[in-house]
Order: sequence, then structure tokens, then C-alpha cells
Amino acid sequence: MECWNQNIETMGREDIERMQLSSLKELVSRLYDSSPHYHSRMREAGVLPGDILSLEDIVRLPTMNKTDLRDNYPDKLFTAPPEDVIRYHVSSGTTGKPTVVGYTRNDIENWSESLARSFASFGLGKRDVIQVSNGYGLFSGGLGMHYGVEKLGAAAVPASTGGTKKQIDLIRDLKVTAIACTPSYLVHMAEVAEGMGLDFRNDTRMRAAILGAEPWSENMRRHIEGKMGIKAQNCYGASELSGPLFTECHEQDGIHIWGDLCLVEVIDPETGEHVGDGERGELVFTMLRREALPIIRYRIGDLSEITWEKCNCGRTHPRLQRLTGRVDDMIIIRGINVFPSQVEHVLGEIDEVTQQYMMIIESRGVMDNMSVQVELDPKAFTDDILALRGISSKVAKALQEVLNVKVDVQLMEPGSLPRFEGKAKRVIDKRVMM
Amino acid sequence: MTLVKQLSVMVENRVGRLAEVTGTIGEAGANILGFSIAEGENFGIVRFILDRTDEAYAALKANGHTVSCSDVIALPIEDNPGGLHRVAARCAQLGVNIAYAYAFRKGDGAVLVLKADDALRSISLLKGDGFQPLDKKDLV
Repeated sequence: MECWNQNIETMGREDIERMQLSSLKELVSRLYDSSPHYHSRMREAGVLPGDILSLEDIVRLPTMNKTDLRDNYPDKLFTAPPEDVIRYHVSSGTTGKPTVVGYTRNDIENWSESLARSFASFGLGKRDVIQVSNGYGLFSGGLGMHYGVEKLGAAAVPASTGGTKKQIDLIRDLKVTAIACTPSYLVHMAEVAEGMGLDFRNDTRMRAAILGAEPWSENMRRHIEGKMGIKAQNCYGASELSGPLFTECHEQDGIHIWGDLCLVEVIDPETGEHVGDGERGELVFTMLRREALPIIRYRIGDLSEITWEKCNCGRTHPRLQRLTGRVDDMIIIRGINVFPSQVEHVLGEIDEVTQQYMMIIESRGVMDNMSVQVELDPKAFTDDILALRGISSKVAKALQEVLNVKVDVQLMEPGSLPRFEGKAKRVIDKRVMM
Repeated sequence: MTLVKQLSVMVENRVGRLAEVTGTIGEAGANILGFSIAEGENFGIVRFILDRTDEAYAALKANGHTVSCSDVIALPIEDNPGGLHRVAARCAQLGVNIAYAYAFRKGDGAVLVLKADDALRSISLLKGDGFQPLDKKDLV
């Protein structure tokens, strides 16, 4: 096992938790003293820095969410002196104001350290050439990855998004060995490369992809790995937490969350109480070393589970399982919770269709109606309309079994649904809210 | 065996998509002898009988179209009242089930393109009954 930071990555759980408790105490004292906002939030919750005696005491601290960041636009929550802030990232506000994240030099250093450990955990190193096809700019994805790549000592190709054909030329010409982007963009890139007559397996040196920023499934991983002959690594992060931060190791058995940098809790979204070890719930993050914008008990909205079981790779830090959805991605149809990730999973099991899909939800009278448009696999196209109808029914039946909701399935011509270079927006909710 | 090759193309229900298909076929130097469009909700299937089927197939594939090639039966019919009926009635008597059909004029008569459930069985029944299915040479 090649570790970036052997001592830290393989230390026992007790040692990690001891470090976490000491960082947490320090963080809470600092916030209580220097942040009027946290000071008053803690007073309201009736908790003082001295009350944090064990990690379990963290539940006494108030949680925060995106609204806190928005309401304190642009920098009212910052605790570092302004002269120590060396960078800003701004996340697009799809609803209302954007949120601003500031970084000190140490914040950038810890962010890059986290990524360098992650990259090394699936075999990347200084000999690699890594194309960063996440957006550069206000979005934290591109520059975050870029600094992680440089920290690792690999060569960064700052391709950003768009210009797909040129990106493919660069992958071939600069002997790129890994790419960071969204899974849907990589699938798009593979389609374009095929049209250019380029075969990723034989014509390039690509061996890994770092994929995140949108939900994706194990089926999609198999599809990408099979088609391109690479390892597709799941990456987790969020702009509020810095940006992309953590990935799976070569075992691909959960994302290693570096416990010295980040403390993750899993709570029941309804009651706010901790769920049992290995149980699914809402993730709550505390960034233990953040200076410019402290993030403490941040309810990010993702649903998943955490295990502390030691990974086969030898690393000991808690592992995040695949996200099963987002608290706010969840669509309620006829009173039943539906996640786009479930739809994607079902589609991945059926050979005759691709994983290019759109979900459309409409009001039909007083009922909700969900239809799924999915592109046919070109190999499954036949002149026989009854056979095509048979494929739709097969997909509809499989979806209904998993979702417990009736779904209208519409087959679409391959290539006719929208492609997304950033986050995929696969749900169109046309319901009239009364 | 006197079956004729037909190309079927899946065409998104969007203004201009058919023109992209026909443009590709024209550029491939293939002449359309007959065609039909079956409509669906989000896509249609456009079926073509062409003189240069292989070239058109390759060009459509290369341009990213979704296309399949299948066998159909082409029967000469008389271009006068009852022309179609005489064939339809015989098919009924022979137990030949027709999935779809379309026709185009050819010289003094017309050509009926049939997709039958079991093409080989159907064509031998029709031949046994005195029909003379056309092959591509007859159509061009």
C-alpha cells in the first residue's frame, strides 16, 4: 500500500478520535470567542465550550445549513482576519443568493492534502498526468482538484469544461493518465471519442477517473470502466466543505473521510439524533481545521451511511458508502419517496436502454404522474414496434418494482436527450403546487 | 429467396430530424424507391427501400443515426380498383399475417411492401399461390 501520509492514514480509531476531540474543543473555543454568530447560537442552545468533554457531546452544539451561509452573505460567518483570506469560491445560487466560501493559506493546504492522500490511495503519483475537466472559476471543483494534483506532484492539465474534442486530443497528446470530471461528462466524452474513431483503451494512457459533483451509480461505474478500460473512482465533497475532498481507494469500497480533517456524523433527518453504526441517515460535517469559514455540524442534505471497519487497503479512517440520495433531491410522488439514483440503478440493469434519462413529474388531475424518458441502446433498435413497446414495458415494470410507483416509460432516440457538462439536471417537476 | 432489404431509422420527434436522415441518405448517393413513416409519441420509425442500401446504412451509422436492416416482401399489384384487395384477400386465405405495409407506384402498376410475421414462410406461401415477389433488380 502506497500511502501519502502513512502515520495518519493508518492510525487506530482511538487515536483518530482523540485527535478529533482535541481539534473540536479548540474549534468550539475559538468560535465562541471570535464569532458573534456562533457565540449567540451556542448561548441559545445553552452550551459552553467547556461542555464539550467527549465526541458524543457534539450533539449539544447547534447544527447549521445552507440557509445560514446565505443569510450571512457574503462573509459575515468568516472568522479569519480579512488579510489572511487568500481565495474565494462562490457557489451558484439556484434559489436566492449565492454562498461564498473563503480560504486561508492553511485551508487551501489542508484541502490539497486531503486530495493528495485520496489520489495516492488509488495509485496516482508524481508520474501521472491528470486532466482536470471540472469547471475552473468561482466553482470550487476545478481549482480544488488542480491544487490537489500539484500537491501530489503530478502534472495538471487545466482543461476545465467544454471543448470536448480538444479535450480528447489533449488526453491522447499529453499522455494523460487520469481525468477529474463529472460522470455524465465522461460518458459524453466517451461518446464523442467514439465518433472521432479514438479508442480509450488502445489510443490513450488513461487508467483512472475521479468522478463526482453529481449522483451516480455502481452500474454507471461498470459501464464507464468496461467501455473505457479505466478505474472510475467516486469522489465526495461540496463547496461548503471546501470543494472536492475525498475519494475511494483502489478497493472501491467506500470513500475515506480523513478523520483528522473532518468529523462526520449520521443523523436521523427527522429527529436529529445519531443513528447506529452502519445505519443510513443524513450526513453532518464538521471541518475540524477550517479557519476562514468555520463549518460546524453542517447539514449538507446528503443521505448515506458510515463505517469505521478497517478497509482492506489498510486505512483506518471512516468510510462513506455510496450516497443514496439527497434530502432535497427526494421527490415525493403520490406520497412515496423517490430518488433519481434509484431510477438510474434500475436502468443500468437493463441492457436494451442506456443511462441517459429524464424524469418528468406532472399533475394529472389530483394525482401525480411520473414518466421516465430513456434513450434506447442503439443495438436494441428493431423495426418491430411491438418489440420496442416490450422494452418500454420491461423498464416500466422494473421501475415500478423498485419505486412502488407507477411509471410511464418513453423510449427515446439515442442522443436525443440533453447532455450535461456540469451537474446533471434529470428531473423536471411540472407539478402545480397548491 | 426473393426478399428485399429495408432500412428502418429511429427518428426523434423534432422539427428537422427527418431532414437530417434524408440528407444523409442523399449524400450517400442512395435513391429512395419507396418509404413510409410510422408515428410514435417521442419518435417515429421511417422505413426506406433504397437502391444502394449498404451505402446508406453505413452513412446513417456514421452520422450517429439509429438504424436497423430487415427483410420485407415486395409484391407487384395492379394499379386499379381492387388491386390491393386482391392481395389482401389472398393473404387472409393463406393465413399470412401482415404487421405493416406500404405501397408506391412503379411504371404502370404499383408495388406493395409487406412486413409479414414469418417472412420465409409467408413468401413461400405467396409463391405457391402464384405471386411473383419482386427482388431489388425489379425495383430499381
